[in-house]
Amino acid sequence: MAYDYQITVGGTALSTVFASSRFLKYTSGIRRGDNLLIPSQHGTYYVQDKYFDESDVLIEVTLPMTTTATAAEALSDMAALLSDQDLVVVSQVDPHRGSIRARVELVTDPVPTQNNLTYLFGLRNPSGFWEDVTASQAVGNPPSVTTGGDRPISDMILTFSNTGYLEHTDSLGQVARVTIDAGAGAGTYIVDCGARTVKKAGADQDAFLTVTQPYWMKFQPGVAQSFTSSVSVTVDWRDKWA
Amino acid sequence: MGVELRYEAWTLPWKTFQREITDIPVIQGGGSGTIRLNDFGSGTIDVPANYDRLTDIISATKGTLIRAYDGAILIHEFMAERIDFTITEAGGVATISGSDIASAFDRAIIYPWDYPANPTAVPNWVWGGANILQNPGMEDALTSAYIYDVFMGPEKYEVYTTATSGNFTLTMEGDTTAAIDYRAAASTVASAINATTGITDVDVELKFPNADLDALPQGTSGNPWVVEFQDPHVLAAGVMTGDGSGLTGGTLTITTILDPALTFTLSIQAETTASIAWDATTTVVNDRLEALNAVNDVTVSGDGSPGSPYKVTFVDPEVLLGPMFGTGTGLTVIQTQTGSDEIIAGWTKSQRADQRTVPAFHGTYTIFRQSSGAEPAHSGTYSLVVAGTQYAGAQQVVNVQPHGVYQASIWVRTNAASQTFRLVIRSIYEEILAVVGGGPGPGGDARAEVTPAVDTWTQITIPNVLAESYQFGFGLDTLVFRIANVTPTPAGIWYFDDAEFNQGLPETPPGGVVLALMKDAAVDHGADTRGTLLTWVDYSTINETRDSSDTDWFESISFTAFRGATYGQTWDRLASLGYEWRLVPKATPSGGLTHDLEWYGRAELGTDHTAAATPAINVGQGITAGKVVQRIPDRTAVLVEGGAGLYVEDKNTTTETNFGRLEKYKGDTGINSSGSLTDAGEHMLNQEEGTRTAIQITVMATPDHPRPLVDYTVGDELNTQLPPVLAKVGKRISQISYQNTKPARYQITLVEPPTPEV
Repeated sequence: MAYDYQITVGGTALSTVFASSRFLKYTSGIRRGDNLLIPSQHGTYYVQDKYFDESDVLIEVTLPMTTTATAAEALSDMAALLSDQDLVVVSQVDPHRGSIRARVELVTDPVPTQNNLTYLFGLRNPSGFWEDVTASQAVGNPPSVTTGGDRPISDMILTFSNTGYLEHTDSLGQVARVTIDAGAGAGTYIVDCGARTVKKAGADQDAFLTVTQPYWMKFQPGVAQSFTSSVSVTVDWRDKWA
Repeated sequence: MGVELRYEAWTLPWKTFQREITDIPVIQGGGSGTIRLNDFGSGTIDVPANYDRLTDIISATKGTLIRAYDGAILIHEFMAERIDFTITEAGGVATISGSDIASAFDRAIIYPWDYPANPTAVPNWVWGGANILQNPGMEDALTSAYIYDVFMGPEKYEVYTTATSGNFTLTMEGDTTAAIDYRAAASTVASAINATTGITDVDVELKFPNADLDALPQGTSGNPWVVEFQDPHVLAAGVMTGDGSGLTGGTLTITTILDPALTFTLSIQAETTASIAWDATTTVVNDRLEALNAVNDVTVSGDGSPGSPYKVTFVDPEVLLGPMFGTGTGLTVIQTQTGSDEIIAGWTKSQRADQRTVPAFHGTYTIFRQSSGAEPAHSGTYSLVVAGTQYAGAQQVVNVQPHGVYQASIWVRTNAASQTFRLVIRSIYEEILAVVGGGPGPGGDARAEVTPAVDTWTQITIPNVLAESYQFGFGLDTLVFRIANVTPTPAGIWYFDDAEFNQGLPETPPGGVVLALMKDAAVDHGADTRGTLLTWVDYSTINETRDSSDTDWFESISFTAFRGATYGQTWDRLASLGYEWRLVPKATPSGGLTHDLEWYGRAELGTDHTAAATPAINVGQGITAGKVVQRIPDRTAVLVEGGAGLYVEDKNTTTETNFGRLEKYKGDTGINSSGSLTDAGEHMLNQEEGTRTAIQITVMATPDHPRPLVDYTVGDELNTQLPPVLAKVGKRISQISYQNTKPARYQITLVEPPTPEV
């Protein structure tokens, strides 16, 4: 019996729509940028920590074989699940990566295959990564964070209990500090490093944020993170997967 | 709010100003515009060439204002000035472009100040114009110093014998001559004396050198030798003596004509020096004189001998209030040059300017001269000192612009109470003059009086004097500027200084300039051929006192608005002094007013967001590209020249030290005060410093982040951080360009914020 990835699309289990389904190709986004060609040296100079591009996701579905009408309805149901104006959340339970999800958009009509009951849907994952369905959290001054996954995390949400800073040194020695300036006044500040927003009670606080890196903050996967801080910070994140 | 831009077409603000097209179908990415600080921007839109309402936008009968919106927020307005068709097989694209609404100021020109006078007699608008008086500070006078020759001696004797033969000797300074024949020639006597050790030069002449020597033989009582010592010119060791024992039949007689004292003193103005030796060095003579309270500085040359007397030149004071004299037998004090300070450049005693009739001074004078330098002066070193009877005073005849306006003033001071001084401006025929708005004189004419407190500098002013006859109104090209004491029985000494007869209107804050020019266009000439224009512009936040942020203007300025220049060019010149302006649409037009013209002091335009929570420019918030440019200074020192050759130098000490002297020049003949020229120089250096680090970034409109032209605009100051290149710092937006891509794209230029005036 084939492994059941328990795929959901937009919250709907595909097992209720199709006879079977699987992500046929879920390659991670390719790395952006080249290594450096150094004259008089063999090969190239490896550039660490390259950014990743968006990734393609192909999902293969097998129509239910009860009736022709049922098969057609299944395709229509799938089209409806993927017709959202915005990104659609797809999830699966991967034997290695566990319960993971991605936000995707439909980029192609269903593509028939040699098997007339099997179709492919082309999806695009703008973020380039899969991520844990269940978020992780750590609180502290500084917080204690150990990441999993196999891809960098840069969309963590940092909730500052007051003005102050959180400074992170990653495994590559890059230091990133996020500070809520003292002039912002007491309060709880939510820094969304993915959306690149900083708010207090729902109001923007862009002028009171100081960052030292263009990526605001970035965790490497699968390691304990190193922090210093001046205030208690809650870190919410999801491990990222290729 | 949306992340796409949309466009509307409106009729022009000075016409009906209403929406004509609600949504112009601008091709995505084909709409763009630029908004600049203190300047005009521009805009352009691409629409399909077959758009059926193109003729409503570019019309033969009306103009159109293109308005760009971000959601409900108006972000830019520009005029549809031209249309370019790109012809292709598919139909093509029409590009509509033009300057933004503020360029309306480039379609209005400054009319002559005295419009509708034709021809114009006063074309330009002058505030704080040049002072046309010569030597207004009384610093220039034709003076000659007092010079004295001072010397002792020469020591002088008459010598004769009554002998019939023989010889005699003479002894002086301890030395004795060789024997001298009783009837020696004068030259022989001189040689004998000069041969002695202590004497270098002696003159010996017969008392009657042309006499018949048979009748008056030399060396006799009737024609004695006259011995005059030149070097030394005084016998310090005592008088000359002689020995006539070698004479036969008579005796030797030596008569002292002049035995100078060995010391002398000099006196000036009731003070006397310490004793001065007859052969004192020039340093000693100098020091003795300068030790007197009345003397600050003299120069002394010579050795004090008759042939090279002490030449004493009085430097300070140049003018002595009484002669120098000396005490000491044999002392000669001769004034070789009389000091003069009565010729004050440009000024004369008050008198009839029209010399066709009997020339007559007003009043009589006991004093009319430049001050001594120790006497009161309002500024500088000197003033004009006058004393006399009623109506005595000073005046200057000046050439003026007929019908021109001038600001008159002078400072007066006196050491007597209850002295009334009158400043009056007259024609050379003694006509009284008109004053704009009515002058302080009894008939509203150009005269004013003041009775100063004792020893107190007091200014008399007559504003807005018109160079035209008060009675007949015709223009005058020559005026008399006159100050006089009109007290019936004057007393004391009077001092006059710092006279001004400044061309044009008084200095005014920039608001006064803008107000007058806007009013001229929008209000003052409705009944004239020009009519009114710019009536749609609301300038009510601008006045002579406060700027549009309700902040007091920092200072008044000297400024000339040249007729024929556009309002835009004139705004540029005001901006070159550091002032800032913008034209913003009203949220609710009313009464025909559709836009606000705002003017500000330096660094006052725009909103400072650095202390607020938002907005800010942070890396990652829609910023897709950018660069930070740093360069060396273009200039570290400036020379700013105004009217009449007046100039100001300024420099940035720090950059000059670091980079050396890099010079830049700016000339503006419409600026006539050092203060305003200094402003221009400071602005040149500030602007240079402000753009040495410039940032240009491309920002894409995102729903979660501050939006250009909605949350912040040109002139605003924001916290900006682009790590690792630029740490967080306050920067000011100098320009925003936008494009209606999806999402909208903005290119933002940021510079250093200027420093406010302090």
